[in-house]
Amino acid sequence: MLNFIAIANPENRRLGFLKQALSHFNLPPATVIPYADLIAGKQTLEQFKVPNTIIRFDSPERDFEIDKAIIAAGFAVPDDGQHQRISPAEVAFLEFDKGRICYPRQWYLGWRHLLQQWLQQLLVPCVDGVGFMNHPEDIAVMFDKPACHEKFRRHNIPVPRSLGKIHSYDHLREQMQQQEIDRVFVKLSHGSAASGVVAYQANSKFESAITTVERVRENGETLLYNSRKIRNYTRREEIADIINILTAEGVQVEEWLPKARLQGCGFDVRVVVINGEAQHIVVRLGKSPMTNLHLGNERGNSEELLEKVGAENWEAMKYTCEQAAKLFPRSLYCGVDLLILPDWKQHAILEINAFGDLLPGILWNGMDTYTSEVKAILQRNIKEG
Amino acid sequence: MGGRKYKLNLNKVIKNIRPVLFSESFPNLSYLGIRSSEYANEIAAAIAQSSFIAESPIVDNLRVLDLSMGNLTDEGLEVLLDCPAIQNLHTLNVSNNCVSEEFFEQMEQLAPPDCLLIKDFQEPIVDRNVGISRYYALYE
Repeated sequence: MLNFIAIANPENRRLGFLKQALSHFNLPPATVIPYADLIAGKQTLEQFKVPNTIIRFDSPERDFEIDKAIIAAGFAVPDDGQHQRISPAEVAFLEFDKGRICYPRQWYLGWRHLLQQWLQQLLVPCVDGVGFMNHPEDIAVMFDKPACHEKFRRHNIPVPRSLGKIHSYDHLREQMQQQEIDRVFVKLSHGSAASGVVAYQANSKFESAITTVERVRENGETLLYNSRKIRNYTRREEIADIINILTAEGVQVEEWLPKARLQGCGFDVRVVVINGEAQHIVVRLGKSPMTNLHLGNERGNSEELLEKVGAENWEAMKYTCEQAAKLFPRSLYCGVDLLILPDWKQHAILEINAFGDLLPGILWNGMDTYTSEVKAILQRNIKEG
Repeated sequence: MGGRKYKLNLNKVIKNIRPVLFSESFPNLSYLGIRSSEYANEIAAAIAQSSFIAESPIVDNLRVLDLSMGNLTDEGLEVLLDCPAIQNLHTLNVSNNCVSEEFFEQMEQLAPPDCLLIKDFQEPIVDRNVGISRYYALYE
């Protein structure tokens, strides 16, 4: 029998979905190892170096103390970035400020470092039979948008054209002019849920930055917050300030592609690929350039989508998503964001998300994402066993 | 605040949680977390109300009620604490809300609840309204 180990924040609702999925196959709940314990060194993963162990790292989200610990762990990681740095001693005094964009690059450095450390605990010395649902090294790459974009481009996965590494607002303007692109998406390299995403357009007369970012000036410094209220900044001073802060933390900048329209809205599609197969889908209708559902956007009608796309095109799109996932062969699942162009045929991959399987209520073959993942693990195990 | 859209959303939220509060959805629920709520006072009032009118209100069985990270104020917490069933809770988490220090002090003197009260990080509602649309991003 398999032992499932879930590494998570114990209050995260994702654990409930995992438990439900396991019980569907008459399996006991996973042993939960809180991120807090691992980071504090109260537990290590060495205890799980036994055969028939399946380890699931889940999202470390929605716990500010964990964010702080991850940021602190990133302080000593060498990096040539221009990002804002904060020492562990100062981190201790950070207070929860809902929505504040908090040291994203240092957070990422800490997250990558911790994932490596946990992998070492399991692999050195090597023991057969310890399996990951998603491999920590893959997770680290999937949290790095420029790295993913580059990986996709190298493997001929269709992606929006990247403008390359952008260092500042002025550099962005210069590159847009030089490359003759007047509409771009600027995205934090290590952000999700549309955090630090700006849909920016500019020509000689005018510029506009449509974004989830809320810019606040306080005591002579700028603070950035994630906001569900989409703002459109048009003053250069404000836009430049926002872009300069984001670029210092690292950004992925790519051309802003036109989207096909469904039910009167632009949209993209979240496709969850499990065990190599494109399965669950959610159409995300965007009232703004951002389509994320927590911004008040609606789920669209997937049957209508499939009808409009047509069977042949849809097969090609699913294949693209599956090829993208295949570049992470040690990982069982991922959430791929698929953009369809107005001709309903051309398409591009916008993102890949290591924890992109939280789609409550969406079924494929009667199973939700978590159930389908567990099923795939069990089948794999029977084959190998 | 107080606009038509706010009212419409509020009605939707209350309607959605009603079956939970009336123990229709999950009769054996022991943890209820309605966190990050922009309608925290109204939700507190709905919980209090259900404890009086529901046949088997959820608070009677509940061990932990977590209303953290919302915009709960003195008013909302007072309504909630006026409901006797709250005394059955093991833990009431109202951290990261907008309850005043004076209210907590007064409460300690008059009627400290039997349960464990988590009340860290309160901030003035004025500050909170500015950022009412702000969200804590998930990590995907």
